[in-house]
Amino acid sequence: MRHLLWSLAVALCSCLVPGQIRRVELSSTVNGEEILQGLIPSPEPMNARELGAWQLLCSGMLEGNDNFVKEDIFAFGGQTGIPPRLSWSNEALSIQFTAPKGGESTIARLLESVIANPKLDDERLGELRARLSTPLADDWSAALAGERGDTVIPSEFVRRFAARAIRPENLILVGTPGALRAMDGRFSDWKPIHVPPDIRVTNSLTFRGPETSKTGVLVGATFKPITSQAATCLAIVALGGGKTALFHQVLREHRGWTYRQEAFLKPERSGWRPTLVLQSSEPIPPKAELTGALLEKVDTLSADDLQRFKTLTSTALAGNNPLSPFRFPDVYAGTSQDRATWLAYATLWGTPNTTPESLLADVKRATLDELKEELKKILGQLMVVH
Amino acid sequence: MERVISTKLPLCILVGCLTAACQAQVRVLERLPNGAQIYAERIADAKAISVQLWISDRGTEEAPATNGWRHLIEHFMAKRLDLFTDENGIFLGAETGRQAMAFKFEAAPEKLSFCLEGVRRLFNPMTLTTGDIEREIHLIRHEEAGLGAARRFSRAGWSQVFSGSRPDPVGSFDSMATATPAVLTKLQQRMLAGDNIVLSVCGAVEPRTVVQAIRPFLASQLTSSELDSSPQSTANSASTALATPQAVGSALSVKLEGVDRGSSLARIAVGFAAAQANPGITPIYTVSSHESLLTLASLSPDIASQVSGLSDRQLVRGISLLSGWLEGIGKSPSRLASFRGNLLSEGSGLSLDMVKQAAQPIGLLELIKAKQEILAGRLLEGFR
Repeated sequence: MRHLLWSLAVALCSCLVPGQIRRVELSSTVNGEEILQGLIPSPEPMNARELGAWQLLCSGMLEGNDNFVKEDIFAFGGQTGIPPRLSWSNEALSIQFTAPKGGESTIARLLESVIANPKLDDERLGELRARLSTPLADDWSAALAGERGDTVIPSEFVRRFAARAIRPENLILVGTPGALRAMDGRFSDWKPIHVPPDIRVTNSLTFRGPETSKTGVLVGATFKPITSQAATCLAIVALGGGKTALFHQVLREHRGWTYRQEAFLKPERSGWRPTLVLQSSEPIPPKAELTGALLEKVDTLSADDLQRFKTLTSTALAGNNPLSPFRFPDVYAGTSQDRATWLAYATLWGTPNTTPESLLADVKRATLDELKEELKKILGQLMVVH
Repeated sequence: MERVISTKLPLCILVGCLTAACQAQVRVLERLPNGAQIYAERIADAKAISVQLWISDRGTEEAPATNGWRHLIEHFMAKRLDLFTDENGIFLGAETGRQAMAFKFEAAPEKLSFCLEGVRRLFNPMTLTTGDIEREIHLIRHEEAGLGAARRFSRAGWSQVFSGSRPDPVGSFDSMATATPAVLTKLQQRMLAGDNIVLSVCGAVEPRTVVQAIRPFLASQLTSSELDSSPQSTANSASTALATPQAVGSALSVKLEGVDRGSSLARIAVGFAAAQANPGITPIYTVSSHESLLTLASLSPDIASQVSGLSDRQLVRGISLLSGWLEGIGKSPSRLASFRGNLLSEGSGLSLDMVKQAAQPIGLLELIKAKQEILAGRLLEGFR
């Protein structure tokens, strides 16, 4: 009886009309190129089997399908010299194509094809499972990758999960006007069936890297890039946005605990997640010891420090600071491609009018007291996740 | 004094407007009487500048007993500028290679004078204590522990392919422990001899302005022959062989001739093609006009089968990837300044156009040959 009800529910869901794709226009590009970006947040929540399916799905997105082999995707999608961009995390999948003027229909066709027709046969999934089970190049990137799903799942499970995760109502399309026009009429036949979540409770693992170093990751609460959160952005810069930031000065220069230490904002479904990463040849000190050392320094910050952190925020948002906390999405290069990614995430978060410029203007109004308060709040909320 | 002006305005514009022509120079290379070189190039549409000081190790080459001393000096020279660069919105990156050390100031165009001031400050003598050195060695231990797999395979490749070459620039901790404030301070002075220095500035800059602003300062530096010889360590020669990769996966390392040779570029193209076909593969190569090493590091244990399995179609993609790489260098202030700074510090005047020219004749036959040469290279096996 329970099985019958479940089947009925699935059949009903399958009849639903697919939702609307959200389309957002990128006003202009620096070199007149056409850009098309697709952003899809992952379903929430996911158990380890679903997470494994999500990771298999994302990692194979540009590996080719029945319409385009991989070489064609990169040849047709890389005609400007900028290769197709695929980036994914456990939170979202992002695919971006750039084309010269006149090439917008080509990238429109490519984007539609890779999103709506991922190749998920047994052979492809076997290749992707082997790839995902390989340790990552270094422990730093392994720590950032976070949880690894269960990829030893039946291929059929992955295919059904794909229908649940990759759906029109989940897709945000950002593009230049010409590229968006080229998307008109596309995806019209795309009606993925509705699939219920997997209700089993399963455990995830973590990605692995070479065990030559010790890496620690701490995270704070997510927030959106809106005016009232400008001081939070400034606080992240004050933690890790330069050589005189607290991380570099306290953890590396004063305490000698780490060589590499960064604070940045990781985009998740609900906003930016403050993420602090530390690497050492020795075990990372406990959280209380880390935050205690940083809080001592917070109390000594001066108006000069405030001014310097604002300068660092300005260079970060203008694209001239490799230590920029705003690197995810990749805005620090300041290219049109980065703008498209920024806009896609801002749309996902419901703050499409926030730009790097508007955020900087807000940051410049923050006071020293607000900065100290935000730093204390972030350090007080930190959780160790790796 | 040698002056090379590589690009000029059309003659019709030059006539009657010499000043305008001077302003329109795209690139300038100037060699000063003391051997210092200044290279400046304007990149159309660039929104940033990169000001890089390259210091050749000529006359200060590391032996096993001094391996890592230059790396220590790099750390001390850079950290003194932390406050100055942050206050002025400049990012300073520093790196020590086998043959040269580089300090790279990345900034907005209006920060040029601050970047040049930063360059001048790098020449200030260091004031160190034994405690400073101990602390920095501790940090370099953390740094070494965090090296990624490709870097570990590359240095294992160097150790195996070029036995007897310069030791790995990260350094030996035993040798670093023998360094004293006095020898490091003296070595810094010797490294900064005029004839070891290249200043490479690229991006949204006016080349003549750069040369005029920094020429007097660089011209005032003493030459190698005017400075004392390099200090000698009394430590025992420690072995710096790093023949074991200490990384997961496998790699192939193959010798390359200069970057302007078609055979070298074909191998690099195959490296790009392999990386695109297999995302787990990382090619690693430092541009050089001399004999150098290309390493293709893979996270899987079967790099050889991954490379041998490259189809002709996949190989051909290497040509456009190589072209894209070279074009990308020309558009990026940081990458172009590195490219020219590194080559000039080796004593090579190779330009990007010359390298692009050498890449022109590469076709499928050259790529197939290069693939076989890579497969015949040194196979490095890491942990499984």
